[in-house]
Amino acid sequence: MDTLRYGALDARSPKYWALLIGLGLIAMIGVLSAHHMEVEGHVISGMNNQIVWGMPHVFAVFLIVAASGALNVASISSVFGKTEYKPLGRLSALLAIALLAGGLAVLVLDLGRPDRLIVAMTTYNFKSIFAWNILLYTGFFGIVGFYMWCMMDHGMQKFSKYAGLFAFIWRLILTTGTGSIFGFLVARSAYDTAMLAPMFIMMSFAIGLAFYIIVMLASYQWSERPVGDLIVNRMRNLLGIFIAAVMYFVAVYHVTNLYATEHHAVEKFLLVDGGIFTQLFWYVQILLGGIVPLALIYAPQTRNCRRALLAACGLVLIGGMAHIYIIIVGGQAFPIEIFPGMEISSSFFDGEVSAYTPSIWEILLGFGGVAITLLLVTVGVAILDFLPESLADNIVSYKK
Amino acid sequence: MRRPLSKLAVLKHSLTLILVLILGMSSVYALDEHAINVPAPKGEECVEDPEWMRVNHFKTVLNHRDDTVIRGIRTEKHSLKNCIDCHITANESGDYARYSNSEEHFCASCHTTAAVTIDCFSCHADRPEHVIRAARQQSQLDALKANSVHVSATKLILNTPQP
Amino acid sequence: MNDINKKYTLLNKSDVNANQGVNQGKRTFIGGLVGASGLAVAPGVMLYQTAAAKPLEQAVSSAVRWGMLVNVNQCAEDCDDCVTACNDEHGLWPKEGSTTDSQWIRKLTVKDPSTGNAKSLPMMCQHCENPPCVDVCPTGASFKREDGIVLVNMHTCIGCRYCMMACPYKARSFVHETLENQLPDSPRGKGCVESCNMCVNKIDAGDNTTACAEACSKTGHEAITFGDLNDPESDISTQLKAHGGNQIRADLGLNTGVRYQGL
Repeated sequence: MDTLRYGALDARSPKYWALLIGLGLIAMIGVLSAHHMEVEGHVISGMNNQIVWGMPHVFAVFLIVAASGALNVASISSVFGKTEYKPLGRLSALLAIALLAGGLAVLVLDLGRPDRLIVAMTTYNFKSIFAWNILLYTGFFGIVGFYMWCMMDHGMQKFSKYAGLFAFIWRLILTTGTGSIFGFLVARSAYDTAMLAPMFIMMSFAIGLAFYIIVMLASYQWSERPVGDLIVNRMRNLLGIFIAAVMYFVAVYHVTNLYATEHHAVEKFLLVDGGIFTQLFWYVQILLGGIVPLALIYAPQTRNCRRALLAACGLVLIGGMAHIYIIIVGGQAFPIEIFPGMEISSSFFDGEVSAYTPSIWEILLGFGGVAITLLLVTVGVAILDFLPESLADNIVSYKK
Repeated sequence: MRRPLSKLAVLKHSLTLILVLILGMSSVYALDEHAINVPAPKGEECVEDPEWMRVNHFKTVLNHRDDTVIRGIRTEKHSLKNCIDCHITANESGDYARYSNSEEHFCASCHTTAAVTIDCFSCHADRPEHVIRAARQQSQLDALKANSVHVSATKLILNTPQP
Repeated sequence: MNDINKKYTLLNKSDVNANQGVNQGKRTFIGGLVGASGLAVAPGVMLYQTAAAKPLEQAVSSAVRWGMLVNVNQCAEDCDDCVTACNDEHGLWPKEGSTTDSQWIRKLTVKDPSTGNAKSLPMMCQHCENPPCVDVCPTGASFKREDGIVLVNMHTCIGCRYCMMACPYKARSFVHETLENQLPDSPRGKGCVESCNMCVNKIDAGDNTTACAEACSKTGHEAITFGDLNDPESDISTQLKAHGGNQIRADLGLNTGVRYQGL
């Protein structure tokens, strides 16, 4: 039995329904939180006129970045010709769409006027990278959807390679766009750099793959389908490379900033005396999100342990959240330099480091977005043939 | 403690708005104008034919809105401010109705009957300027009074000369 | 001859602007009208007339660029009459210490750490010629009026706050809660971003000043001059020509409409 066969997950088990209802509840609580925030105004969030983007944006950017990264697994087989990854392609596309939907839901629900979403969809200012992102996101759904169709419909399979290539290029542009949302902001010292776009691409590789591995191993464990070591070890090694690459980009980002005297203040803030941001950087982003997972992946003692791999993936996600939190919130907490080199003060908190405590509503909205993602995946794998019935080594290494 | 305005705001949803506008349009014709209990307008006659206005006022307001905001055209004829100045007058007891809580308000009187939901007055003034200015002054005084104990205590601490 | 040349550059500029915005056709048409009448009448006179009192039914034109000049040396450290006047004009009511209440204008203290020299000045929207807030706004709600005033069209603002991320002057505020008793000339509400609008309501009414400039004159400090930067004869232009005026963060190349002397 060496042939690759796909099959939908059994949706009749109570376990499945419990998961579905649980995720549905979290998603609903998230939407209700957003509604509460719209009715009462953002005054009930931790955000203010100093920290204008907060926890919802951290979650949204995290999910959107993960979305384009999750698609990589499919690209590796159809663009780079690694056939071992071929059985994983369908889930990769599904997860990418689900992650993007979850992220966009959070982003949209946090708007001051979410009721005017139709305005955002119909009026574009093409000078705005934000407007471009709206088009990039919509396009992503369409292209990945088509790619999915090519992978799943036998008659369409001849287009699969081209659709895959197009989707790969599109996702690179999309993450560049997401990074540029911050990279184009000349006003703020932490953002004003072209480094952010490539760094976001690398982050998407790591976060997306970590998310993918967790979802894949979890669904195979649940459905009691076999997964062989071959594919798991391939992905483990790939994740290691991605984590190292992210750390390299982080190092380059800070070193280039340190090279310019005008950025010394913001670097000192982020790396030395920024309080929570400094701690998050060293302990969570670098140690927990970088060094520990690398050790778990490459240390001989844990090299072949799936639990260790899952732990590494979880830590990559936590480290990634911290990284995005530092970029978004930390970048705003550092005061805008209206008069570089001068000390400024006012009733509007000029020149002061801004404090931010996210409120429960923002956090619930964020988790709601994650739940929407997982809900879509859970429903998807049960109604269509996304998952191979077996990922045992003989299936994975089988060459057509 | 929530104000009725925010309850209204809950209801505003663009899709509902469109639906309601379409449904509401038909009921505009069915309105019995004598049933509306609103104080008489200030002016002699409306800037347009009242029959026409009843059906089309939102078009004129919408056109004027973009002309004003984007192009700085400030003619009075079709401005919302002008509508409010003329139509929102004091009742017998000298009070001015508010859009959010009274069917005595010219706009609300009809919108309630026709089940039209608008969000104009979550930002725009629903009464003439002098009424709003007076209301602002009153609420400022109220806020001061409510905080008076606290304020005087802080002042006492801050203003006590240090030996 | 010089004046006529200037007229032509202004005309061209208005045409360029017209291609960027909404109501393209209408705007080009208006631009043409203004240009035609400008050529018929003596250019200087025409410019002055536009600056002084625009008829209510006429659209604003790029023949004018409104600006303000702040003389920091005349701005008293303990005076915040401009702030009070702005709050009163636009119905703002920022509570002391609130991190969420809107402030359209604020007094900023700028201290040189090396010398200890401190200056006090009003800070508000700088009404850039190339405003970052307009560049980043996804819906085009943040826009620059033909006469150079940067505004938020609150009918199309979706409250994404990207403009607040982009503004180098921290000039914008987000309305965090339901407002009551907004004034007829300054509609504002929850979920939208807002900032100094250079008192468009007063300018369009022909007041030829802003609330802050007016209040500053009243105190006798005369630190804020309002006027047309395009009109070489205007008070603001002659003052700028005689004594110069700095842009804040001039390095960003935004060409601000608010200039400062004595920094």
